[in-house]
Amino acid sequence: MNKPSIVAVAGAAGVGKTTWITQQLAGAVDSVGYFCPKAEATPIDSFHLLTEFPQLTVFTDQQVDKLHYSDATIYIEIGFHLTLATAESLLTGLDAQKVAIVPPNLLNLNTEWHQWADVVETGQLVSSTESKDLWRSDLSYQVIDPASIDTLWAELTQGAYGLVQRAKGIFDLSDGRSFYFDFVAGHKNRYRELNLPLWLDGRPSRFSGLEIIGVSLDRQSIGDTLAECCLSDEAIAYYQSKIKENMLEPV
Amino acid sequence: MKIAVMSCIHGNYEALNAVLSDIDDHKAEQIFCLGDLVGYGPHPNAVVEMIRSLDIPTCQGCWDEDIVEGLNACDCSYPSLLAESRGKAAHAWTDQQIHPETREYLAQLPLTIKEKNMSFVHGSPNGQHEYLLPDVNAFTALERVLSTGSNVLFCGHTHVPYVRTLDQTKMLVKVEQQGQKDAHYQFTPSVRRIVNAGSVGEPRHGRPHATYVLYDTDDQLVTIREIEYDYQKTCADIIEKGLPPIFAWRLAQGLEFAERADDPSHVCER
Repeated sequence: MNKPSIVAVAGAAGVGKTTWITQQLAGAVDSVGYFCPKAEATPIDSFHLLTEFPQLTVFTDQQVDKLHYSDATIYIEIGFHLTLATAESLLTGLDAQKVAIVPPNLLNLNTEWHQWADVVETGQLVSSTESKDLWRSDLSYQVIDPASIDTLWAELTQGAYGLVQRAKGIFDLSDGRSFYFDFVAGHKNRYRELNLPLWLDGRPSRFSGLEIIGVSLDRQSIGDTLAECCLSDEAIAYYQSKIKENMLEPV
Repeated sequence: MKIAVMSCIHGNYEALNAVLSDIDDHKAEQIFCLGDLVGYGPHPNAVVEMIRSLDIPTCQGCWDEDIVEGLNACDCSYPSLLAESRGKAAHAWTDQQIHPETREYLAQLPLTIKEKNMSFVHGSPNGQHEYLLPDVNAFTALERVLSTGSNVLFCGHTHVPYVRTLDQTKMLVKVEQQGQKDAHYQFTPSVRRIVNAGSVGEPRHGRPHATYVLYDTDDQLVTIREIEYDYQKTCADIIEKGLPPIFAWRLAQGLEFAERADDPSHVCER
């Protein structure tokens, strides 16, 4: 049997779609691609995957036509914000294998994911698979105070701004490092330093951003609080000069 | 004689009432207050009025000083940009709400109260803004108690209650004088204690309940009291009075509003 050249992956928020794709990419020997439709405002997953797999080809909404002609195995992640009907229309004309990631408690049921998919894989437990509010913010050019984002993240994930089911973010911190934050309700927070060079020259032009999925999200307060976590130009210059000084000091 | 020591009320009138009622139930003969009557909470004037009306000996806290003198923050006050922004918002609100007589009362509060072999301060004998955390190194802890000349030092400011007994301690002091041999001295102080009363109105121990301590001067027994009260009423008042709603959420979780001591070795520079 030939390996499918296009694999569409769908599932509820937080169930582990990107984790499953990451596992496939890690085992891939041929060239690979990734496409997450309608996510370009905050391409957290594609940016995150690129830091782990620099050889990955990432497709944008404007490059859909190129999916047909690519030699790579392409993983299309159907975000929770797209219905399966929308996903189906996106896949029209593409000979895609459809993979649904479902939580263990739904594995033996006949859900819409089962009906849609060619293959069903087991993901992790999620507290709810129903559609929810989505809040996104592109934070490119912003530098975040680490202690402040720690506070905001704890408040967010413990319910201060509504019931958060899923949150993921990439933040450029004042020490020049970029971090990935990942939360799924009912599971432990995960933090990972991204494999990127220290950014020590002004505001970072590389991507950073935050995406939150939940119920009754207090959008105004989330936005206002996030703004209070961002450093001023003067503060950025101060921290960057201090770090450069330290780097020049002999060990 | 049984005394009650409380601290860090932070404008939380509901919590203060519950603590006073518990103190009454335990028949404490004297109450001492370690300051921070105002700041973050919705009822700064009512709290001060209650403390004044009961004639409770009270030290000046860091918030009390800030309301009198204006903000003059050392780095230790705000562990983050967010905390700074929230602290300043709380200060501006309190500053606007406070009555002139409340401000006058806060201005005349002493930094230290001494009673027999006990000393009462807000943060440390060095000042209202210095944190004496439970794990501060033994030398610093002992030095702070010895500097008061008392056997028991009562403090607050950390918002987490604790009792630390300093026994079996030795202090070695070397004195260097030009042209003379170094002199070495050794002290073996008697047992000293630091008793932190926690916080009435802004707990940081992970629950919303108020804390204070009872101390028996006859047998030196310390009892940390944790008192449940209608914190939801305080939360509702925080929102109704126009303070940041996140303060209500944090109070309900037993989290600090903004300030937090995160470096036990830090010596305040104010």
